[in-house]
Amino acid sequence: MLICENVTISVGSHPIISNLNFTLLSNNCLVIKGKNGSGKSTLLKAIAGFISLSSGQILWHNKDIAEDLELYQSTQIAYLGHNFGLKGFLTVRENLSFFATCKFTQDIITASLKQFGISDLIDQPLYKLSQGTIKKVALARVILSNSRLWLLDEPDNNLDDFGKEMLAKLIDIRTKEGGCVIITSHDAYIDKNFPVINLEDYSK
Amino acid sequence: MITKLLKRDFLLAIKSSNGLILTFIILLISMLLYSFMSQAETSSPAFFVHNILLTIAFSSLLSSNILFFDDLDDGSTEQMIICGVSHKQIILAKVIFHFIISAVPIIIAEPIMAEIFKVKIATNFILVIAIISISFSFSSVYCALVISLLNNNTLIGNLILLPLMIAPLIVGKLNIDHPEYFSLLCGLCLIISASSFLMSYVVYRDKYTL
Repeated sequence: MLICENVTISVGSHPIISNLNFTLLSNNCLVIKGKNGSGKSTLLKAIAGFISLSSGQILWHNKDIAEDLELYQSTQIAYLGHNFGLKGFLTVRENLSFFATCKFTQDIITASLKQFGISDLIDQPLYKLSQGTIKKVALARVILSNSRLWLLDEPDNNLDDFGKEMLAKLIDIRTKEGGCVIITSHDAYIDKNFPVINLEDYSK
Repeated sequence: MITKLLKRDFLLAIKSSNGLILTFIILLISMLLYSFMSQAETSSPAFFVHNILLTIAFSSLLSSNILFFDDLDDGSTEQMIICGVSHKQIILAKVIFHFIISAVPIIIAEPIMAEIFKVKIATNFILVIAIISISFSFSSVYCALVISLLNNNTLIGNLILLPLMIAPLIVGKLNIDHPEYFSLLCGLCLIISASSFLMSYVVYRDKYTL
């Protein structure tokens, strides 16, 4: 369970998000929407523990994430930002293998890529792949991590219909398995009966 | 995990080849400049070793941006942290990687260069250790410099860290004619490396910790 209590996030002296409150229960997916610059990505980074809050606190299973941030980050979350942390010169296998020792084993890499229909590209360098395919590789890493809390920043951008369908399916499976998912989106997913927070209501 | 990080950085350096090529270009320029100097001076072992140290210093400072910028820019740092790689491991891996890529090729080329320029230099164990110590302290200082610049601490970077590279150069030159300075040199390099590492860690941790 994730609780955001009176969360205010500022950039410099300018508050982007003011007094945001929400509770996300296990087995649930939350959609954060808002226009460009409303703080969607910033909020996800704050939940991931990469940005400090101006005030308020974020609780994961009733414990402030700042208390043991390293443990929280390394065991509980999977984060997909706008930058994927994948290297263009390395192949899909090399990119995913680097993370293999940390959160998942080598042998399930191919299985994960198969879900997105890109297992045949495993030995291709990333610079040869399209943006949509690179996104699928980044999403495959999220699935592989098996973390309890998925933080996905506009995950459906650049994805084809099959990719979007697969992503929706995986989010559904994750939540059914007891996980929590937070997605930022301009408009997608809003019709899927997920609770929605509009950040424009919390910006000054 | 440090091995894993090093392996990844080497793989990237080999595939993109920018880091290694830059080191060899600096070495080549250094050799060319050295060959233009007067014969009397170049045959002096002290002058030769000092030239090697200066080459390593330049190579360290002009090192490729693989070190931290790329990882920060493409979100790799965040993913590494999520994967449980500690800040200390990241910094140590980067210092070792930087040392290997910017200094080791020059250290290996040193006896060959001495042979080319007919410098009668006894490449003994102490000299090699001295050069390695100095080079490693350069790499540590450079990492601290890059991290301080990433955090917009330009003043700290330029005023505190860069002068730290000058002291080993001075003592390193002294050490060639006076081997009794060897302990002083090693101690100095150790202190500089440790303090730079500590500074890197504090700044880096602050950047990524709530």
